[in-house]
Amino acid sequence: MTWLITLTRNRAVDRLRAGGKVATTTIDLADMVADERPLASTLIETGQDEARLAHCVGMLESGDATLIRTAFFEGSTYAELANRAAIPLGTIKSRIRRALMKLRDCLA
Amino acid sequence: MSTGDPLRNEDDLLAAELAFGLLNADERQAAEARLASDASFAAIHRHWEGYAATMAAERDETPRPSIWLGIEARLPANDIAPAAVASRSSVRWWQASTFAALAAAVVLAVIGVQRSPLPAPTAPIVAPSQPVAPLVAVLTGAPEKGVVTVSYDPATDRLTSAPIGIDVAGHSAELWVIPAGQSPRSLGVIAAGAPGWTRAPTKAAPALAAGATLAISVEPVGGSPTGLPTGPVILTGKVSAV
Repeated sequence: MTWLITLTRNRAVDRLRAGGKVATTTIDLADMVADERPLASTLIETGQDEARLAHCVGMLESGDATLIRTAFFEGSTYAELANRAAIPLGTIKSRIRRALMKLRDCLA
Repeated sequence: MSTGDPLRNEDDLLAAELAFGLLNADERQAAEARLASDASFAAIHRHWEGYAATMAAERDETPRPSIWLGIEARLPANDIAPAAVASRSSVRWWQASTFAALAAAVVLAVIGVQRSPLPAPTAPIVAPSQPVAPLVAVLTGAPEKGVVTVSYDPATDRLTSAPIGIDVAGHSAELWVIPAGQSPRSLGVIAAGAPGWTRAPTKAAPALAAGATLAISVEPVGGSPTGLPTGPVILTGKVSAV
């Protein structure tokens, strides 16, 4: 299933880019109140991998989790995230890289 | 751990950045090139890709019904276009099949991840003891809009469409049945460049009867997002029994 999701995502992103459509809506990390994490009740029904990942993403600061999710779901690169969140590129890079390492350590 | 070998950290980060789509085009190309030559990097990357894909499970999204219909209509088995027609509109077909493949992948991915059962396959049609007359309709509009002939065989639940001179330029042509005094029900997106067939959706099939109105509207690629026509209706016609 992984390859199918990955393939679909990559093709979808490529198509959007080819059409000149890049997500540009502002990401407001300070006011990020909506919790996009799945409910605990649905977690019970999902597989172990999903539960573990959701747990580890939940351990991140909510702004960091939002950035990683936005990258994946909206196809935004570092540069685009920096633009959208109005944060310098260097800052956003080190912030996401730190979050990715946290994620790795939690998942390990 | 984060205190580990800094080189390993760098590889891990790069693999994660590639998997989550954070890199710009040049960085991405370079990292993808490394996948081919560096087996251990590729293995780390596969791990991250797995995590990233798992994230898709968070999204509780169901594709629009018109996506299914579009895929069904474009399966190779349904590709009954004669070679001459196919070559004339090969570009459009190519685009349509690319879209269908993509839509299929999206649908499969989302459905699969949700672990929800696939929609029940259409129940086998039991041939009625009484022969049922097939229905036909010729859909017309302004002369430059073309003509679509639609036929429906209630016995086999086959809905065929034969378009002539239809050009929806970057959009989808969606077929609707409008029962008298009721709102339109989608019969799915039809191929604009070649004949095709599909099964009538269960919600709309009962409305297919002599006297009902059929219409084709111009919709965003993949069909109306709302379940009702959103674009201009270009062709209409009345259903009659043969």
